Amino acid sequence: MFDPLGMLEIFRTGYAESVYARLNPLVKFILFAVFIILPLLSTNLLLQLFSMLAQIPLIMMSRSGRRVVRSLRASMFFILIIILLNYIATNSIIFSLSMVVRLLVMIIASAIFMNGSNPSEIGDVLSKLRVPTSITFSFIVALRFIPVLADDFMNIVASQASRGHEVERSGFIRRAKSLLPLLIPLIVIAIRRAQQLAEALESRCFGSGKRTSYISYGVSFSDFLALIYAIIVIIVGVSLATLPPSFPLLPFR
Amino acid sequence: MEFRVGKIYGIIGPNGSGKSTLLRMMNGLIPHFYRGEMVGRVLVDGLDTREASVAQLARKVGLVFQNPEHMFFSESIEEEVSFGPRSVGMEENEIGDSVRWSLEEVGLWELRRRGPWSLSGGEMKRLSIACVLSMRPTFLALDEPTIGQDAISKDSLISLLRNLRGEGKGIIVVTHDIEWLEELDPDEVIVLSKGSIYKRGPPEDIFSDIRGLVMSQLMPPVSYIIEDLLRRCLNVRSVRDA
Repeated sequence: MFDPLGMLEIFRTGYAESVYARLNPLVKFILFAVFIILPLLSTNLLLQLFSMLAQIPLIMMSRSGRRVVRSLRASMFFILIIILLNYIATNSIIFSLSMVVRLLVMIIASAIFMNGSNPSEIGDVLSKLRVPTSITFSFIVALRFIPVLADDFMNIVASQASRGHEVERSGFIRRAKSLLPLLIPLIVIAIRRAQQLAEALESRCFGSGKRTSYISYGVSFSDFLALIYAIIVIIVGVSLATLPPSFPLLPFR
Repeated sequence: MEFRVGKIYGIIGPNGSGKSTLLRMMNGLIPHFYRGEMVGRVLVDGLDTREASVAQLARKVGLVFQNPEHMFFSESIEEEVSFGPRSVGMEENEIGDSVRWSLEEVGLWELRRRGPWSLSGGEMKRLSIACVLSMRPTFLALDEPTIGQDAISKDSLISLLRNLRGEGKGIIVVTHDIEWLEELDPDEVIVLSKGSIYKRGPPEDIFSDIRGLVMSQLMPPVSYIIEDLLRRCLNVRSVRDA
């Protein structure tokens, strides 16, 4: 059930050709931010459900249905943990559901954004938002490294399996111990790759002065439509978040 | 396709022709680890790879991956080599002998106390072979063993593989390095193209088919190209006869 490689899928950037992918990166980022922030405004189940349903047009626009399903399937373990812990803590099924839907909204938003954006676009958006280059670049590199590390991990698993290694299923300590032959090579490879990348960046004068941009992004009619959609979602979302506590489906009523 | 012990097989083909996939099918990584649909059946010494576990198959087919760094995690070479035999449940008294034998085979016994990461690229490759050999597999399958290796390491790899053939192991080598493969002198060469066998036979037959190799996006060994050119210039059947 716990599928770490599947979890990485959420953060794997891709550039599936779609109406969404052609949007201005800043607009895509705004849509993403709306669906990350909106569910945090309230624990209201209606708000969470609305935030989830409001993403359906975006899923269709970005043609990322398959990615969304894969990401949700991979997060099943956390979903169950969240339901359980929240139910134990609050004894409210509506609150637990609300927290799960909140997580689902964020996973879906990330899957849509990552499926329709490439790391350089994300970097450009962050630069426009005046995030320091060192942070932006580290973020882009981290995103770019996810598929590479996922492939490395797969190779390590295959390599150790060829030496008769199997991950223990029973016992926490036994299981943790059996993961060492997989994790140590992965860490060593990641550190070595980071070292090589640092050298390659140094040799290409990274950080020597102000950086300029290669691609300039225009604004199209679909960008306006997307922004209007984002505004509508914000208005409806905020109204739902400020519903009186007597309204049904609100936790702790 | 059938592979026998005591022979060296060379598998060549352009990128994406299915060479590495074929190797991964031999020890059950496909279908057990990689997603996708597997059509057909692979039998290793009577064991169906669909039914047997990778750990079971590891004692029959030892697969050496392209990047040796993917397998190292122990503090010493000796410990690293003993990992495989311990994983497959070899008897304790057997493990010591097996580790010693495999490290001696690859010429690293003297360095057994050192850490795997302190070795050179060539030594790391030989260590990765020892890691697999220590499980005493019947077949040794190597994926691109010459990548990143200098001339001396390539030569020592040739003598190692020939020795292993002499000891009755079956060797299967997937490589792009046709010059090295020619020097290795395999018993049979298999040319893969788009997932199927384009041609298989003795190395002389395969390498002398200059046109066929070029058509498969492969560069024939230089000696065979020169021989072909001379044959055409002198208009004779065989340069040696002329």
